Amino acid sequence: MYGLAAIQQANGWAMAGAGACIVLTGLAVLSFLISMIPRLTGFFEEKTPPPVEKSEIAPKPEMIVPDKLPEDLEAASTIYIALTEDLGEDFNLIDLHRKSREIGLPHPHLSINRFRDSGILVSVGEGRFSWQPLSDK
Amino acid sequence: MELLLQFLTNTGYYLSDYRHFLMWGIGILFVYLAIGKQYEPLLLLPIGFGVLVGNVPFFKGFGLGIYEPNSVLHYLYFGVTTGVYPSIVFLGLGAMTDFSSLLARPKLMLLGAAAQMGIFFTLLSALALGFLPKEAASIAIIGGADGPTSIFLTAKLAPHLIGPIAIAAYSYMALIPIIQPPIMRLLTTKAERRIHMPEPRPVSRKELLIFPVIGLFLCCFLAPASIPLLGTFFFGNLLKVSGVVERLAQTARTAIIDTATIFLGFTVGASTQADVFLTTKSVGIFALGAIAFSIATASGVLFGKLMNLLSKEKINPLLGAAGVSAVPGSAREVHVMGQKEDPSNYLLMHAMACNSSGVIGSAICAGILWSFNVG
Repeated sequence: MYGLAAIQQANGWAMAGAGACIVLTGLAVLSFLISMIPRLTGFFEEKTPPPVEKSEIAPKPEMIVPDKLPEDLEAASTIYIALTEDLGEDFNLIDLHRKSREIGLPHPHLSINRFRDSGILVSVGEGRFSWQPLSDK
Repeated sequence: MELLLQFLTNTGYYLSDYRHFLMWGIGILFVYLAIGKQYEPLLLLPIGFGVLVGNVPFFKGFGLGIYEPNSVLHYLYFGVTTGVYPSIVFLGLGAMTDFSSLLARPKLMLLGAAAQMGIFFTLLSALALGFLPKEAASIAIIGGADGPTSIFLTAKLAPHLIGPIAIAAYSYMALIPIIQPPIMRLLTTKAERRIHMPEPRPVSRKELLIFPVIGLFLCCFLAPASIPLLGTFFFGNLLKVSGVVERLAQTARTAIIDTATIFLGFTVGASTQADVFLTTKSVGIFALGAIAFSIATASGVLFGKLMNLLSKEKINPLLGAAGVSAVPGSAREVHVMGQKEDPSNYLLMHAMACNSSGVIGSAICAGILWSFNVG
């Protein structure tokens, strides 16, 4: 059997319609629930504020972030290299991106992309990266 | 002399016919695409060489072929027919996937759902072409653009079609750079392709920890047949985000997934024995696979346009094309096309969010289709 009759015979319209609705609804509900997670975690955090402990470690001096990065890539990379000092020799791009946003560097993803294109930031395998300043080459 | 003649009649040279050479041509093409063009080499190289191995002619009854009980290849193929390899691959995928961009903008998950419409359109097309419902469901899942999911569902519903379906799914995944861009360009305007997405908000560790649990609860309760895929997927992700079992997470995303991928690709390739693979059904499967993939891409992009129209926040409709679960190929294509229009447009992270929701979406679809056709 072929054509519309075959679809009808196999209950195809119902399968396709129900299937499409289920997957759309399921992912829409999941999307809604995960959008609620921050509120949920925020609610519990407000209820039970963590005890404030006196930090014995002296606070790190704040980094001075320029409004605009220098045009010279190598010069710009020094700011980023300083950021990864406590991440070790090799690090994840996600960590680098997070840190650069934390201190408010402008357009971190673009800069990281430029470092990668120019070979200043090189992959060391398994999703990790390390610096290779142009002057080392 | 008689012994020599007997030996010669048992060689592959004597037993081969044009079909074996045709399959060897396909195998060599896959190996070439993997090595020469670097199209999905992790998949196409094992599959391509598997095709070569599976199409060495041999004397039936020696316990050599993949379909002969007690042969070594048959035992390796067990992981495919039982759905073990896809499940293990999903464990590794979970341990690799970073959901933070999806958690930062959950509405992108809808694009992953919209791109699954290709599956249901193809289901209808396959039924109309005369395929049985279980076969049609297995063919339809190619539209999810997820190799392990396609293999998993086919192993459960139509095991005799694993070879052509797996080859079609992986071929189209490798051909993403050729299939998707024309569809994306056709369905979007220049201005839409230039839309910049705002940077995602930072996501807390708590959110990352809660997500696999909520995801498992919702998806697997909704479609319990997706447990073998999504159960391991979310478990792998929890290993990654927990931060307390880094060794396990590292093993899952490297040694374990690599081992499963090697055996999955190789045995699927070897399952394409000429006498099983070269049938009119295979031609139909390839044609429907191409339709499935194209419709999936188109439905994702069109839904992206709709979201862009209705949403307060602008959404680049190209992201819809990454709703198919071909990770990370389709996300890369979206990013590349966005940058072609505007080099400062950085879509990769957002596209990866759609991609990861596509993985979840296609696994749910597999579960739904399996439960519709069970029995």
